[in-house]
Amino acid sequence: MSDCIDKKTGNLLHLYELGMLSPQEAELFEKHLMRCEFCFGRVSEFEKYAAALRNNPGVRALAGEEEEAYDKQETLSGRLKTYLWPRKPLIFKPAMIYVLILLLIYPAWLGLRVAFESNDRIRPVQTIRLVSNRMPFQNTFDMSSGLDGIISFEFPPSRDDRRYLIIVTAGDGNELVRYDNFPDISGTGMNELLIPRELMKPGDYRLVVFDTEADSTIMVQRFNIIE
Amino acid sequence: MDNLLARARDGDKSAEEEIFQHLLVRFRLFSRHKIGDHDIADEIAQKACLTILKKYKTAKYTIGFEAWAYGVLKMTIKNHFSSLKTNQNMSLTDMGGGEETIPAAASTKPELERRLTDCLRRLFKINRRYARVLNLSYQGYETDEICRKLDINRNNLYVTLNRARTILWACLRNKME
Repeated sequence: MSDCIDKKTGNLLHLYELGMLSPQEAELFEKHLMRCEFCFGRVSEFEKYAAALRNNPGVRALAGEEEEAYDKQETLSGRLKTYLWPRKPLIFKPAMIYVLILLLIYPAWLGLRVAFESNDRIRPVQTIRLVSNRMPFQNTFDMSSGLDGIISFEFPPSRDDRRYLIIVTAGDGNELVRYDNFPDISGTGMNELLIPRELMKPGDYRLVVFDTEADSTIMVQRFNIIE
Repeated sequence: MDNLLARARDGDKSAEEEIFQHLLVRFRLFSRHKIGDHDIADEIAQKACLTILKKYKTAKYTIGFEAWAYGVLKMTIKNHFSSLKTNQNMSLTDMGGGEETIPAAASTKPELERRLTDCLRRLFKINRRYARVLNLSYQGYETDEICRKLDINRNNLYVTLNRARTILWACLRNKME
């Protein structure tokens, strides 16, 4: 009883046990069982369970419940998967092609989104330079340009471990912009300060850099805003 | 089998007994498969074996002994159903009815049923297709129709069923131990 003598017919074993063979196929398989000790042994040991699988109402009901659960699943994720995913490889279903196209488009869309967002962020500005030991080539913002202003100023004595107070004040003493703990002191000694267009008013202004720990004014620079 | 048969024909009783034991266990299985009632099935198997015992020495079987013996069983089962039908028709005519009735299936022991349903529940969790096949079969679908419904070919069906059977049998054996 080492192995089945005719595997092609032996494949019918469980179909026979379940009573799913046609009369002709059942006869073919029974004739096979007349000679094949291996298959006969398997069918014999399983006989009482096979009979229950064929006839028992409890087993039938159980299979029915499972089928019902399966049907429910089929209506949701299962059907979607069947629709999207091909049963045989290299045969694409239309829905799968859509998925592939979406996969290709997504990175491009991400790139476009970044580009659009960048357009929103990057705007033209007007810049003035405030350098202590030279004549400034320009120290006036023009409000009529409608642009935000950037003050580029030299700040040589900066230290990484220190925070500085930077105040832009008008001639009458009103503060235009104030940065407590100004952190953006670069290693090159040149720093930039944003003056939003909405805050600009015509007049003379002073940029004061104050060391809060040493309690001393480090630098004062002047500039103008005109209409 | 040919050797055994030659010995039996020459009067070797042990060879004869071995042949009929070989046939009887198979005939019981086949007739139980076709007839729900095990007592009737066993009776038919014995009847077929007795017929073979009477005739095997004189019968001329060109198709081989086993095929001939199987033919005897087939005929015995057929006769059983014919007589059953005649008796049924007679009793139904007496009662004024005319519909055919299906022979009652053998009842399953509760312990066996519990063991089987437990294992099937486990099996259905890992092989739902098996549940589908069973249920479709219970609903009366032919094997080819089931294959069409599941969108698989017959070979896939054999593989699915044989795998499921292996798992089921392993589970049942564990439960028995």
